[in-house]
Amino acid sequence: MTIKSLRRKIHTNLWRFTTSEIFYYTALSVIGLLLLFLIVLTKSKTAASIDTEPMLLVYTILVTTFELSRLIAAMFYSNTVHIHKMHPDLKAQTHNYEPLVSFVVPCYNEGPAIEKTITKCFDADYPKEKLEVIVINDGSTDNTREVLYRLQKTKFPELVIIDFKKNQGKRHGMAEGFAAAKGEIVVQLDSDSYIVPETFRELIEPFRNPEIGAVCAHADPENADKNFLTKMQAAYYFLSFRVLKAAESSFFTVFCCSGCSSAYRKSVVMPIMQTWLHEKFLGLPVTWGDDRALTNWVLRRNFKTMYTDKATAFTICPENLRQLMKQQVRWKKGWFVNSLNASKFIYKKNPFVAFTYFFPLIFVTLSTPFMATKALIVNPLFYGTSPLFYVLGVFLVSSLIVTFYRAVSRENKYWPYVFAWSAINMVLLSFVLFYALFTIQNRKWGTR
Amino acid sequence: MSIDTHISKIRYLFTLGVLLLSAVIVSGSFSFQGSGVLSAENLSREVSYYRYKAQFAGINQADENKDAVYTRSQSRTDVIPVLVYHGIVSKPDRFSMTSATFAEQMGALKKAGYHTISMENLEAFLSGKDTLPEKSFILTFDDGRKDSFYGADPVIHALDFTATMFTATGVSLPEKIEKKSTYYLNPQEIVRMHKTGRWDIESHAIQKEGGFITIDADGTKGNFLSNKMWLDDQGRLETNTEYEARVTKELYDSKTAIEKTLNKTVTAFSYPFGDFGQQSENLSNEYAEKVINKAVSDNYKVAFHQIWPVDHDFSQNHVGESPYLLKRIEPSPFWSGEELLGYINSGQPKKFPYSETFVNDQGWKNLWGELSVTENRLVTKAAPTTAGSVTFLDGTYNWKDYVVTSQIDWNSGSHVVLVARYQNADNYASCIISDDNARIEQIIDGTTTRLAEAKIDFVMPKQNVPLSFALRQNSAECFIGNKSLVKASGVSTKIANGGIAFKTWDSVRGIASVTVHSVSVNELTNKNTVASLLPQNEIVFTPLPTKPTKPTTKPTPEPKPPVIPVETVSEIALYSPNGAMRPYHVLNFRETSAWKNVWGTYSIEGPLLSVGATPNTTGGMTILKGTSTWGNYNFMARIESLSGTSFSLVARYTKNNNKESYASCSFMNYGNVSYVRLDQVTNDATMQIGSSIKLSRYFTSNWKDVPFSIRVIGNEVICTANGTDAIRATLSNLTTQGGIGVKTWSEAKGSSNVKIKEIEVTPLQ
Repeated sequence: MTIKSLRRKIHTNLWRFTTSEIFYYTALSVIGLLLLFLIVLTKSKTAASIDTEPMLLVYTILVTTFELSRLIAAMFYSNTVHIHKMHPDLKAQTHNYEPLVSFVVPCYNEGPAIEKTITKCFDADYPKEKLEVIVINDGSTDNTREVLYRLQKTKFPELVIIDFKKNQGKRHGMAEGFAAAKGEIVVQLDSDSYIVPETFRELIEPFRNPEIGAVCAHADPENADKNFLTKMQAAYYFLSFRVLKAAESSFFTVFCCSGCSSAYRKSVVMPIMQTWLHEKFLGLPVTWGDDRALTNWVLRRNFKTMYTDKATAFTICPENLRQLMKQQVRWKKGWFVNSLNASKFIYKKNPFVAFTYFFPLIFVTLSTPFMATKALIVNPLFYGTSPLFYVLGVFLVSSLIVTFYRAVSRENKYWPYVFAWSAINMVLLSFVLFYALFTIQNRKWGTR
Repeated sequence: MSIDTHISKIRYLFTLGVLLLSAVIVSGSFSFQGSGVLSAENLSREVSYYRYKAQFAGINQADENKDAVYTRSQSRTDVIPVLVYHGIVSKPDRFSMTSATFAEQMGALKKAGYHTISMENLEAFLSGKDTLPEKSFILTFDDGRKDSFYGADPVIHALDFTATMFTATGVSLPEKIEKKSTYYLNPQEIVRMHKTGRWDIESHAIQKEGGFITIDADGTKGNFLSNKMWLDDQGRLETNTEYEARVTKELYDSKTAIEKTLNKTVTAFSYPFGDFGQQSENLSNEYAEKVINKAVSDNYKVAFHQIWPVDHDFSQNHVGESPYLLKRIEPSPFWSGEELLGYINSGQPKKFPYSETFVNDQGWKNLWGELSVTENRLVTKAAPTTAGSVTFLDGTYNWKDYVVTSQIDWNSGSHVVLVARYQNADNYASCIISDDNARIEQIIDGTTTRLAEAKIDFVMPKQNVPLSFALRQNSAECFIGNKSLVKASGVSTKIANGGIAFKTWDSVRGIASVTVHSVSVNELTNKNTVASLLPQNEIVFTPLPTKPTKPTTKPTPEPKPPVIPVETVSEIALYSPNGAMRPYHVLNFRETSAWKNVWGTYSIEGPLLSVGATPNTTGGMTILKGTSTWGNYNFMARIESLSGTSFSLVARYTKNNNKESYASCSFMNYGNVSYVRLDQVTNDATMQIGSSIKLSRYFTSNWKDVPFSIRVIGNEVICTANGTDAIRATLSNLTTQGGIGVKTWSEAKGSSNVKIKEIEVTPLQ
């Protein structure tokens, strides 16, 4: 590329922005650099005590670098979108890619929500004859069953209902649904979630590339504006999808294609369905982290997984602290067990991701509660050391993440809640991991 | 082309980005620390300033209003309190406090209307050239520590105070910087402080080698100003001329180093270690004091020492006192703002008429014996080891002609003494009363002169006795009620002013005791008489029983000090009968019976003495029998091994009424960190006096054969590790005699043990 053409490119690209946008992004960049500077300053405070606490410095630099490396990775996310199209086999394929798609929706006591979910499935912007919706009633004790049969009778005669007499657990429901699915692509949906029909095609599109095994849609809480807690979660969802999953997606290694809205290539998951269904941990069946476990298998089979921000799903998030804690405990358990499983193969299958992301993540997640305890409780209590710099460090990193958040989505209004989330995370959620590990032998499904 | 091929470029870019980021963080975090304007310290100093500005908004507002009133009234002060701080840290210790505490203390002073003055103001005031407004004070910091500047500056900035930093120029303004200090201020910072206009940089000498020099052939270290240096290559001490030249040069060079760097005049000096010659080890104190005083007064206009604990003198400085021995109050890191304010207020001049019934502490200071001011009474009494007690009232130095009247209970002891014109322990007038005699004495520069004496011809009442002492110019008179006991003239003009004190005495230790219920002081002017100021209610005195023949008045047997059954162990003498020193030295421990177990257990193992915990104790302690009369000595020990956290050397161990008192130096070993802690145990109550800074890491791992010692001289205790003084303190109620012991401790029960291979006790003069 010549300098001239580069200049032209920059010129044309600049014209794509309005004045307000140029100002906005410049301001964000300045803020970002300023924050980075302040972060370095707080680190210099730790560096000053290198004589007495050298390990603390190494630790804090490692953690900060790791956290910010996620932002760097997320910056490469936009490339994902192009790369999957560049598969040589696809060059000639200009026709519409419209494989047969099956929705698999396991549900348990979802009487009130299930109708909307099913309606949205049938509303998808996709040829009707290429859509199949399978609902698994997992022995619900409420009116779910009645609702399903009424829908089949009145609105959607094509609806496939698999009716368990007794509750068997989500995994069984999913397995049954996958087995019954005729589609080449299976979209797994939680019973309280739906994919925005207009964006449905975008979820299927990446499967054009035969290397792709699973695709995760972007999810936002539908009840985001309910209260402070849900707003906070809205911010957290946005972060974990648009930043963290996007960062994973830059290397086509998304470790968890969320249960609330992900599509799988059936030919990839079917061979391991039974193994997945009967997975055990410490002798007991695993009742959480089904989505993470399934994604693990896709990766293990050498297929790529990705996240697309073009397909959007909505789900319902917990509205009170107790439910949120329960959900968090389940997620942490799922994270722990599946991370253990993944650590057995990931360093062979994808050493780059394993050592730049996966193992550092495990280290940071497991050590954070200890460091938080030390900085927030032990030091102030026993040594009278102020936790100010620890809190300041967390706040600054959160701010930098928020800056990034604002850069990727100017519209998303929940960004101030990132601070609330990181505050709660600091004092509460990082400790939830301990609770989760203590109660890891409790295998009740425990959803909501 | 597969996805992997495509993302390989991203992998490289990502790795590059992360490496760049970590490089930025690592290099940035090292380059921003320290002295740059953009350092974390400096920025947080700026941020803290605004934080304190907001915090003190109310105080400063009130202060502005106060200013208006105050300039109109123009009230002046004749005393000036000086505060000394050492450091502002996040974890308070004996020398340093948190910035929050400092801010609270300063805020309380500001709120009460106090304001800082400069060294120039002080000098003009002391020399009588100028007066000072009321509630002036001086804020000083010793040692030139970084944390003092960064921690204190936002506070004094927010409160509009100024402060003086006494800087050791050898570390803060060296000719050549060898290694950037993380502890002491560096030249850039000194300049920056000076430029703020809030900090006055003054001298704390040069202090090469931390202010210590070798003072004898054995390599003993001593304070550099008050000792002659040992010249190892010539095998001799400095001559007088060399010593004087060195001290002069030290003080001159330190001054010029600051003057050259900052282009200012240096007027003030702070004695390192507060040693103005009185701590000399190889010279006479008089000579050292003379040399130091000459060098200081040639180069400076004012000089400060440091008094801690502060109870031995009036806490504030007066016109007419030597400008080269200015006293400073060291606020405790554990004082609230109110406590500091109370302390300073109690040292401010008290006005006539003065009266109190001991509701709050108005500044009674204990000089000798024991003192308590509680429940509406003051009790001054002999400590178990003292014959009597003295307490004086702070803030009374400038009183001249007055009558002091007190209501006392004479609990026990042969003498009760009412003191007036008290200037210091060597200059005052006293009215001394015993059962059969009353006399007036004056003590001038430590020499006692009896001015008058009278017999007492009635039975001295012991409860609610109204005692008065009147002084007008050079005459003094002592009263009980309104009855004159003894009258004198010829009170020296040297004690034309001075405050009040109480004193008790008995020939037997631990007996004398007086309770004071009230005290009132009225000024004698041209318009009133002594008689008009005395209590007017008549007291009926019982005449003495007739037949005052001497032998019959054998008083009831004197109460003897409690006798504690002591095992019959002959005292080990540290001096031979002809007076030569006879150090007690053991290299091969054999006699189990020489030692006595106090806690845990001990045994003699081969040539070693093993002291350790039992399964139920966290430690053990044993004391050497026959050492209870030892006074001043150095107790050195070398160990073979230590398991557990610490071992301690105990000195001045005494046991009274089954209660232990002693001082101990604990050598704490936490593996990667070790330090020395000094504790004082008084009647079983342990008080941690302080901790040393961390000991050199080179000597952390193995303590075998390293000499450790505790040195007790008078009230002073010094802990030494490997030949270096680690911590020293003056302990006010340390017993004057007592034995030695060895102690060990660990957090876990039953694990601590120390094996001692050698001990040596050398008597000290």
